[in-house]
Formats: sequence, C-alpha cells, structure tokens
Amino acid sequence: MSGSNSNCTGQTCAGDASSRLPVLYLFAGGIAWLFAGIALSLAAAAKLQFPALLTVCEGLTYGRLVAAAGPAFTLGFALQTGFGLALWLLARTGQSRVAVPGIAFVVSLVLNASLTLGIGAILLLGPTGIPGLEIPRQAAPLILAAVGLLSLIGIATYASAEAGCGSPARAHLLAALVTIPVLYLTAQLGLLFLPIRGVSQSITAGWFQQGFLYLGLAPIALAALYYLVPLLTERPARSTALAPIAFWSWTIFAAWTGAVDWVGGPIPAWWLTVGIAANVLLVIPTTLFFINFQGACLFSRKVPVRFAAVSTISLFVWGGLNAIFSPRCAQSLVHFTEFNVGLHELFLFGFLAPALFTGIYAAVPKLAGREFPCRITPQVHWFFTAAGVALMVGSNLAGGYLQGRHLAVAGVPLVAVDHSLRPWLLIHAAGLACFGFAQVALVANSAWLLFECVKPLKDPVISLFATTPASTASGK
Amino acid sequence: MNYGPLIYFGVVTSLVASWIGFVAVPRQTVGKLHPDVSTNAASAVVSYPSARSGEAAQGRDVYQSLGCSACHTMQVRPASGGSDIARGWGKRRTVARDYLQDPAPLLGSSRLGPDLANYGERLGTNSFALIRLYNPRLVAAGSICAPVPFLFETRPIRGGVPSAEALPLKGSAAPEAGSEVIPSLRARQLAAFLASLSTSVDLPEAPLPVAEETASK
Repeated sequence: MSGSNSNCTGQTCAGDASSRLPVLYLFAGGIAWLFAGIALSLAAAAKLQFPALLTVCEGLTYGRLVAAAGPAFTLGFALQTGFGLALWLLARTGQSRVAVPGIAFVVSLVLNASLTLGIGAILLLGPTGIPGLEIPRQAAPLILAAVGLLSLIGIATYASAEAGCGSPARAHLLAALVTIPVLYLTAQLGLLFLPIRGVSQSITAGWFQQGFLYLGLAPIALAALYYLVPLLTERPARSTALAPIAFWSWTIFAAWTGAVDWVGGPIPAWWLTVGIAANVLLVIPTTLFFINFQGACLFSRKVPVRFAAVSTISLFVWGGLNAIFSPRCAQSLVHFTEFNVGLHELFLFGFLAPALFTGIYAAVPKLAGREFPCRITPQVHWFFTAAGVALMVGSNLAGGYLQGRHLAVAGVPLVAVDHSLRPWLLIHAAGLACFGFAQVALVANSAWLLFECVKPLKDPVISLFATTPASTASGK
Repeated sequence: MNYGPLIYFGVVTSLVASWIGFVAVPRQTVGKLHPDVSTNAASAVVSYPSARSGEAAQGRDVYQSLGCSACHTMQVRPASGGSDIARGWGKRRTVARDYLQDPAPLLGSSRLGPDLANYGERLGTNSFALIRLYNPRLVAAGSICAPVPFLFETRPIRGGVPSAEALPLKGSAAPEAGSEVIPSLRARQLAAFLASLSTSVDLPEAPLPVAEETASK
C-alpha cells in the first residue's frame, strides 16, 4: 500500500469502456432503490405522526415499511452503487478491463429482480424479524448468488490488473469484495437455513449487520475517497504511511463490533465487553481517515470534493460519537432510542452515501464520455443532501438523547415520552424529504446527460453495448 | 509490490476470527443451553422455558410478520442498566435461557412502544389485548401505535344475538347499531402470544428479587 494512484486518471480509458454498461446500470438501480427506500421511510414516518393512516392494508404496517426500507437502502442503494463503483475503480486503478462485463450486467439484472422480489415479500408476507436480514428466505439465496457473482467478477478484475497493485483504494476494494459474500453466505446459513434456537442468533445477526456495513460497504466508500480525492483536488493524501494503519485497524476492530447492539440484553457479558472495546477502538481508524482526507477535501468548490468532505467529516463525527456512546454507562441512556438510529443514519447517509455520490460524479462523465450538462443541479444535489443529512441525524441524535433521558425516569409515562419525541420525528421526516429532493436533482441531471449521449446516435441501444465512449462513437 | 495475497489473507483471518467469536462459540455455548428444571410448590417437576401452545406459537408468527418488533423490545435490562424493572416491564433482567424456545428471538431495538417481555403478566383479560390491537388509543390515549383493523371483521349481528367473540366496545368506539366487531383467527393467535409472554421465573443466573431476599435471610 504505497498510497500511489495509477496513471489512468483524468481521461477516459479502456477500463471505462468495458465497465460502462454494468456500472451505469448498477448506478441507476442504486438510485432507484434509494428513492424506494426514501418513499418507504417517509410512509413509515407519516404513520408515526398519524397512526390511523394506511391501516387498511396489512402490507403497510409501520414494522413492514421500516423493515422494507432497510434492505432498500443497504442492499438496493449502497451495495449496488458500491458494486458499480468498485468495478469502475478496479478497472481504472488497475489499467485493465472489467472481467466479463456482459455477465456483470446480467447479474445486476438478477440482483435487482431478486431485490424487488425480496422487498416485495417483506411488504406482502412480512419480514424475518432478524435485524439486517429482513428479506424472507425464499428470495435471499437469489440475492446471495448475485452478490457472490458480482464479487467474483470484481476479484477477477482485481487480479487482471496491470498497474496500481499497491494503492490503498485497491486494498479496500479487495477487502470489501472478499468480505461481502462471505458475510452474507454465513449469515444466511446461520440465521435463515440452519438456525439454532435462542439468542445465539441475535449475536450472529449483530455480527452480520455491523460487519456488512463496516467491512463490506465502508471499504468501497473509503476506496472511492482514496482514489478520487487526490485526483480531484490534485493534492495527495496527507500521509501515505497512515493508510495501512487505518486499513488494518479498521479491518480488525470493525469485525468485533456486533455485540454492542445488545448492551444490557440477554447476551453473555464478555461478548458485550468485546463489542464495546471494538467500537471504542474504531475511533483510531476514523481519526486516521479524517487526517488523511480533511486537508484535501475542505474548502473545495468542486461538488464531488464537497461530497467527499461531508463523507469524511461524518465518518469522523460518527467515530467519536460511537466511541463515547458505546460503553455501558452511556448505552444505558440511549439504548432503544432514536439516538442509535441517528448514529446508523450518520454512517449510512452521512458517510457512505456522499462517498458514493463522489464516485458517481467522477465516474459517470468518464463512462458517458461527456460532462454532466447542468452545472447548477450538482450544487443543488450537494446542498440538499448535506442539509437533509444534518436534519435527519441532528433530530435523531437530539430527540433520541432526550427520549433516553425521559425513558430513564420510570415516572414518565411512555405516551409522554413519545409525545415529546414527535416534533423530532417530524424534523427527521423533513430531513428525509430534503434528502429525497436532492436525489431528484441528480436524476434530472443524469437523465439530461443520457439524452445528450443518445441524441446524436442512430441506435442508442447498440451504443450502450459499444466498447468506445459515446462521444467517440458519435465522432466527437 | 503486489499486496493482494497479504490483504486477502489478512481480511480472511480477521473475518474467521470474528466468525469464531460471534458464530461458532455462541452455537457451542448459548446454543446448547438447556431449559431449567425445578420442582414447584406442589412438588411437580416444571421446565422453564416451556414450549408455547399452538395458538400462541402461531401468534408469534403473526407478531413477526406484522413487524411489531420495529417498536417493541422483548428484553428487560438489569436495574443498574435502565428503568425497565422500575417501569414494571419485568421483575428481573432477561437472560439467554429465557429465549430457548423461540425459533428466532424478537429482541427488538426500539422502544417507541413498551417492552413486551412480560406483557402477559400485566395484560389482564384476553379481550383487553384484542381491544388494544383493534385500536390502541382506546386503552392508551395518545398512543402512537397503529391499529390493525385488517385483523378484525365488522359485520351485522347474526340472528339478533351478538357473538360471544365480539369485542366489548362502548361509546364512540362501538360499531354502528346492529353491527359487531369480530377478531379474526390471526388476531386471536396474536392475543394468545401476547398473553403467553412472561419471564418471571426464578433462574440460577437471574433470581427473582423475592428469592434474593429470601436467600439473604
């Protein structure tokens, strides 16, 4: 891990052409699932304000809406966009081509079909009740197969590299592509197909849930930052020596964080202690990541870099709050409250999503062969994303903390606790709507770009399968 | 230098180590716990936890499928770790043995609603549970819990005699004259499951407060 990036930087290269179809499709699918997740979450938020709303249909209970929104965000948006970004980054940093791009595209189609089946099954039949693994077992193996194949294609692309072997971006991508299928397979076997009774399932579920986020999705986001921030800012990361320390400390500590979800619960104490220690120690890599990126990210006028700034700052804040509120004394106050939901959203929407948006803004013009046509919508996208995340996370952290304070006093009735929480939930819903509006700006700009790309071509469908960029194909 | 193999084996080693800690070891320890066997006051051998009745077991599936655990937990923390016991949500903390009969423990992670680990003990009558499901605001004013009317049928009273299963609704909650609200099979199963929720059993690793006092005397 030398910290150097490959030479394939500013211009469109062969890797871009080979990855165009699957990557653009994965990005489009990811954004579509982001909208689906936001719609489901908004419906759930409305039900908290108006409990009698949408009560006629069993598929729209609060529990099912929340359970369906989870995989829409993590599997549909973050994982799918992450896979797209990983394939693009691997081809680019390795100066190679994506292995079997046609199969990658077909597998992406299968992934979206199986996600539709799985999330539809949550709404129609109900969730499994296992945190992080809500999709019923009938649809889960198909998702696993698609995830496994996409990971294998990514690893094959990694192996075919002609350059850039020591870059931190590639190290993070390899770690993610190894981890994601292993975790998902183990969780499905241990929880859906060969479950053992009792709370050992909960321990395994916590291991999977945290591992999938921290060891599967986070390294892809970090890879995007490691590759794109120096490229976009034309300034290297502050210290290349810190990169391997941050990588290994993150990889080792994040694997043991799972049990902290059950602090005070019916889990043997040593698991909780290990989980708490691991969560506290995560402050080391998050601080190192922040040190490496913050100097390059702050005060840039480029939208992708601004997204990177939101991402690195969010990760740093998340690391600090996670370390402070993981120990038993603090968890006893905020456990079971919206505070922990806020921390989760800070990681998902504050760190992961902006890093993925950085990647989308960097990759799509290279893949399409031309820049985004509108210069204002990216600014709108960034502003409302940042504002939405601030509102969502801020309201959940503040409201959740107060909820915890109220819950700690036995004399305060639960109805009164919920009553005091409702304004915060309303602000959270407004933040979510703001975040959703921001994505409309991204979609509008992307649609315009697509229109610009296919307009000069006689056969736009064939152009998507072409191995040269649209601009070249059209003679530009 | 190609760091690929090093990264690969490092990541796999880290994953395997955590897998041993969080998957293999729980299966060998917590997963092999046995029910607690003791004799009660009538000298009868009792086993805890015992399997739920058929209706309650099916009600657990209804509870899971409706996603109730999005708002309700089923775990009581020790007195030092929260107000759960002071709120009357349980007499003692819950431990791993309490969940041995659950095919998948629905521990929950949010308390927008109350903890239900011992809901059966404070439920009262079965019709109370059904009214609570039909419209939570009838028993807890201001509750944000959504009603589940799709588990109930509002129908004309047949033969002029109200059904014995009809909900005893009064005032503004009562259906229009000549009608009655009948819980479906799934509603009854869910109510039976809620009524079955209880962990107030003395265990070696989690004694009841009364037992602790007796032991100290």
